[in-house]
Amino acid sequence: MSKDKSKVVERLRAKILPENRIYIKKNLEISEQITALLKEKNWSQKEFARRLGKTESEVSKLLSGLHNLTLKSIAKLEAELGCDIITTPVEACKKYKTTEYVTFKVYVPVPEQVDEVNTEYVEASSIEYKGTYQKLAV
Amino acid sequence: MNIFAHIERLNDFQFRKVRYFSIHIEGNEVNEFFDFLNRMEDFSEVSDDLSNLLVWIEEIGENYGAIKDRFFRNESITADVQALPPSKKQMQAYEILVKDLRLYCMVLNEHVVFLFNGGLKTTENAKDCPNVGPYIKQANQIVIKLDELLKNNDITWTKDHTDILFDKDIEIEL
Repeated sequence: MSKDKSKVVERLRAKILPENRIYIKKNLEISEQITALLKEKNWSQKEFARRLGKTESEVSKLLSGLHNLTLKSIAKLEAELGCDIITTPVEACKKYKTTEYVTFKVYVPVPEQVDEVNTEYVEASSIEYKGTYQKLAV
Repeated sequence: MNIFAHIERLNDFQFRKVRYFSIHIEGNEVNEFFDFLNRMEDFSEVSDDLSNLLVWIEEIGENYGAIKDRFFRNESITADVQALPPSKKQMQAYEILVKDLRLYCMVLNEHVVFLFNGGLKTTENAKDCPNVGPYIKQANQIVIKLDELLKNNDITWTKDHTDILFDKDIEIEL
């Protein structure tokens, strides 16, 4: 029996192993997180490589989202960056539960009210010149 | 003989960050991207690679956007053609993704990508490969035509440049 060519996506999606989907997803998330942290610290890949004692090419691979990162290499990156790259839900819960929230009252300056200015214009020809004023020839 | 094709929106591949399209050559049962998937589906040795490629396309589409120098490789000959997966340099350290599978595409911007055809690369230089060489040429040819349609406003952008508008009957002569 010939296969239905239009249903190929359904067939292929059904074959995707959940762990492979998770692996690619997590890898990309970690790469994105490191990129964001570097941006926050204003470190270039070159600077980050120098601090890690690695070549720029090695760091580029780490950030590609394709590298098979070990927990040890993530720990090394976190140590150099001085913050978490990955946080487990349990840790995240602890962190946010202990966060103190403060309410701020913000005062915004309101522009002073100014009386309306009469902005009507009149034709020069309709102005009557009296006394010492003289009409200029145009 | 003149060959005509039309643009097809890939309804199963419309994500938050990227909308994917393909082209459908007249007389063919499916569009070029589906043709690629159907042909590769028959090779058991690339089964995992093909699955990973699909996840990659979906993840980029949903969460990141089509960033050329990060998620694609350049395969231009006469036009701005990209391919999946990313470059060998990025691939060296990595262990799971697609190896010699190549899918040619056109990245219009971070939100709109055309997926064409491809195959299993068997030579060092993809252009010399009997499997994928013709598809690189075809992709370059299609990209030139799509560029013309954009220039002539036969394909237009939505106001926020996250999608394209076109007449579904518009013909591309290949």
